[in-house]
This record gives sequence, structure tokens and C-alpha cells, in this order.
Amino acid sequence: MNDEKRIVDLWQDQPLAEWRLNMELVLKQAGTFQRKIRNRNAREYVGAAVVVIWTATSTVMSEAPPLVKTGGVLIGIGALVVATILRLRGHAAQPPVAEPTSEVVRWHRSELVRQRDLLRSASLWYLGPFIPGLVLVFAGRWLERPDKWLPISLAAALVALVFAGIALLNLWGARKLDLQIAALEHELEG
Amino acid sequence: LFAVGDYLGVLTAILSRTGVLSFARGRESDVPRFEALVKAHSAALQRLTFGYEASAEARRDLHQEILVALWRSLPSFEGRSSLKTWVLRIAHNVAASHVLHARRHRTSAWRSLEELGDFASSADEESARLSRIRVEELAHGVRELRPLDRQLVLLFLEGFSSSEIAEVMGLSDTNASTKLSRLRAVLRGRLEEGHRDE
Repeated sequence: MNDEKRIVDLWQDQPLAEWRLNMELVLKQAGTFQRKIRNRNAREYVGAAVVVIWTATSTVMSEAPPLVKTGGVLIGIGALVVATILRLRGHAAQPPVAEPTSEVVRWHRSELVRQRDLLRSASLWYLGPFIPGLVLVFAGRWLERPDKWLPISLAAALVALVFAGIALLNLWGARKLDLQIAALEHELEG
Repeated sequence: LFAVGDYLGVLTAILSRTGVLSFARGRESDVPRFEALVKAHSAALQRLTFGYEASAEARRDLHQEILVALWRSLPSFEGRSSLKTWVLRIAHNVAASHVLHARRHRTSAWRSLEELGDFASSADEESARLSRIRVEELAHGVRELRPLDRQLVLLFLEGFSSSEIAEVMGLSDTNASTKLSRLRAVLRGRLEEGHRDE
């Protein structure tokens, strides 16, 4: 017991550096945190607005045929759907620091699981909402100018390629998170 | 007028409880309370950061992160636990989150409690220099542990009882006692090794 007490004393009697509380810095950093959240939300709303305005001006308000215009509307709706899902499910919450530590560790694991599931299902919620609109836009353009089938098909193929790339990157990210979750579980629980 | 006054009183009470008013008034009145709280636990918080970060700069950053979390959480302190366990719980949670976020940059795996590094302490009178070296060895060993084991060791070193440890870590009293016995056995083993080496 004496040796045990010696270790505790050794730890508690260790020399500590001179330190003073900088209250201004604490208040500033607490404020920065709130500002970051506000700015992030604003960026997402602006991003969705840009897509809606772009589709409105480039298709709906242009001389395009009705099918292309309908496609433009669907792309705009798709952007709003993606922005809403990102708003509802995409944000990392703050760890519950006032709860017991076992809860905080559980929270970290559930955050990784949440991020993995989002990445794994990205082709459904991140890419899927744009597909009906894009199909209509390309079909409309093709029906409008059947003689331009080659450049239209190439553009459609390029978009499909980009979408496939994004889907694969997300799946790869989900796989990496899977490994991290397994490693975390192993290291935390032994 | 009395009825309006009553309603306003009820509304004020509700807003105070939900923390809306404290946000609205900028929380100036919390500053002296916060300063006193930090002053009372300053040494424990400094020692805690030593058990999580080796470099002085990283320790300062973690310390600041803990202070901001304490400031943000202060309105939610309801006095259900002692201030000491509440402060240390938040500090450990911030530090655990900190190491869990930084985990992807680690090249080696965390160790279990049984693999706690050697920091053998002699029973003889030690010089200040030797004490410092041993504290650093102990801190180094602690920093290699899994977050929950690390927390257990640091709370033990701060003199927390098994029921206080249970409260901070969210364990049952029995579970905390078992973990504490495991830790004591490991410490005894390390000390015996140290005595044999001398």
C-alpha cells in the first residue's frame, strides 16, 4: 500500500508549469465554434441555391423543349433533396462530454457507423435524386436533335462515368471506415 | 396585472431552466464561477493533459479545448455529482475524443492495462531528478494505453475512489472495483520488478 501511495504522491507532486486562465481566449473560442456551425449551414444553403438557380436559368427559363425543362426542374428538386438529407443526416454532432465516458466512446463508434452508412448508401441519396432529371435532360436533347446523338451520348457517358467514380470513391471510403470501426472495437474492448 | 406578472414569472423560470436566458444575457455572471472552478482544478487538469499528450504545445491545445468544453457545459451542471467528478468527467471525455480523433495518425496500437510500461519506483528516498524521470516514464506508459484504461489509471493517480471512478466512467460499482483491483495488481507487479532490478 505504501508503494501504491508513493506512486500517487509521485504523480500528484510533479512540478507543474506556471499557468494562468485566459478568459478572453475561452470566450473567443466558444464563439468561434458557434460561428463555424452558422457558416457551415449558410454554405450548404448557398450551394443548394446555386444548383437551383443554375438549373432554372440553363433549362427551365431557356428555349429548351418541355422534356429538358422538366428534367431541369427534377435536377433542382434533386439538389434540394440532397441538401435536406445532408442537413438532417450529414452533420457530425458534438460528443456528449457531460455524460459518462463509456457513453462518449459509444458515441464515437456510432459516429463512425453513421458516416460509413452514409457513404455506403451515397449512390442512393447523393447521386440517385439527380438521375431522373439527368435522364430527361439527355432524352430531351436527343429527341430535339437526333442528328447530334454522338456528342449527346458522349456527354451522357461522361456524366455516368463521373457518377460511377463518385459511387466507387464513397464505397472505398465506407470500406476504410469499416476497418476503422473494427480496429476501434478491438482496441477499446481488447 | 398580477396575472401578467405571474405568467412572466413562469416564463422566466422556464427560460432560465432551459438556459435560454443565460445565452441571452451573454453569461457574464458565469465568469467568476467558471474562474473559481478552473482555479480549484487547475493542477488536476494539467496533470490530466500530461497523461494524454507528450508535447507541451499539444498539452496547451488540449487544455484550452477542455476549458472551452467546461465553459460551454457549465449551464448544464445540475449538481447531481460533485463538481470534482463533473469537471474531471468532462476533461477526460474531451481528452478521449481528442485521442480518438487523432487515432488514425497513430502507427502503433494502444496497449491494454497489463502492458503498462515500466516506471518502477524505488522505495528509497529519490532525488528530484529521479522523481521527474519516473513521472515522465509513468506518463509515457499511460499515454500508450487504451483510452478507458488510461482514464482509469489517471483517475486512480488523482486519488479517486472506486465509486467516483464508476461515476465518471459510467461503470457499475462492482465493475469499477474489479478494474481498480486489476490496476493495483499491475502496479504491484511493476513495483516488484523495480525492486528486483535494484
